[in-house]
Amino acid sequence: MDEHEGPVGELRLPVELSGPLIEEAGRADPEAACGLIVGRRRSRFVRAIRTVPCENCAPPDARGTRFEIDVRRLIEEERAVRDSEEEVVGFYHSHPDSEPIPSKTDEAYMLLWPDKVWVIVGRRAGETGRTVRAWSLDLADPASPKEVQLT
Amino acid sequence: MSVTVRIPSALRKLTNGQSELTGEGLTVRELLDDLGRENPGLLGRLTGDDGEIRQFLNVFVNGSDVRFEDNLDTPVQAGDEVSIVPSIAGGTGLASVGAVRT
Repeated sequence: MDEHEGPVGELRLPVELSGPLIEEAGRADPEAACGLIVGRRRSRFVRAIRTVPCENCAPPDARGTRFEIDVRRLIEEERAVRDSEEEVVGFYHSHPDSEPIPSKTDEAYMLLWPDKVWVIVGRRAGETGRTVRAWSLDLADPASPKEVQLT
Repeated sequence: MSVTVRIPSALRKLTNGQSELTGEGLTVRELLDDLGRENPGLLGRLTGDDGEIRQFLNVFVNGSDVRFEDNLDTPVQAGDEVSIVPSIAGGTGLASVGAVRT
């Protein structure tokens, strides 16, 4: 298997990146924020280097519960990093009113991107602050996304 | 003269794990038909019963979405790069999940 394929096991996401993601989710509230994560990957380990905020292209009346990224942004970013050691390692989005756990909709789209890490910003039940968790889907067990260790 | 097609990881089980294929044709449809000869099932995963590109997949020729061109009849020529890119979406709202699966 290509070393860049398969589920991600660990994501190094420094606070310099996770902090702004939480702030971005707050600014987007009540709509979902979304974007790309650029970094480096070696086997199951991913190091995030920067994030690329993207417009939520879901229909305006659905942006509180849906996100959609214009895939042209992904193509542009992949072209920009093609000759470097960086790549688009994953995507992020926010759940304005729920926990940062993949929804059934998220899981369906994760099936289309099994080699990416999915970072979700959300709220734990009963808490007002937002938190970040990360997930990846193993096509060998697609029924349940695996949580990616954040370091 | 060949055209390069970039295959997303979700479809590589249909291409023996290859991330790039080269094929020939004057349109995207002919190109994909050509690739389908050595990679059975690929065209069927890309297109629905109506013969058009599935809703949750996107095909780009040199960065241009063929849905804004002539869909599968969009012309291609040697040196072009064709990319198959799944949609990036999700959220807590319900979607027609079954339709997403490729």
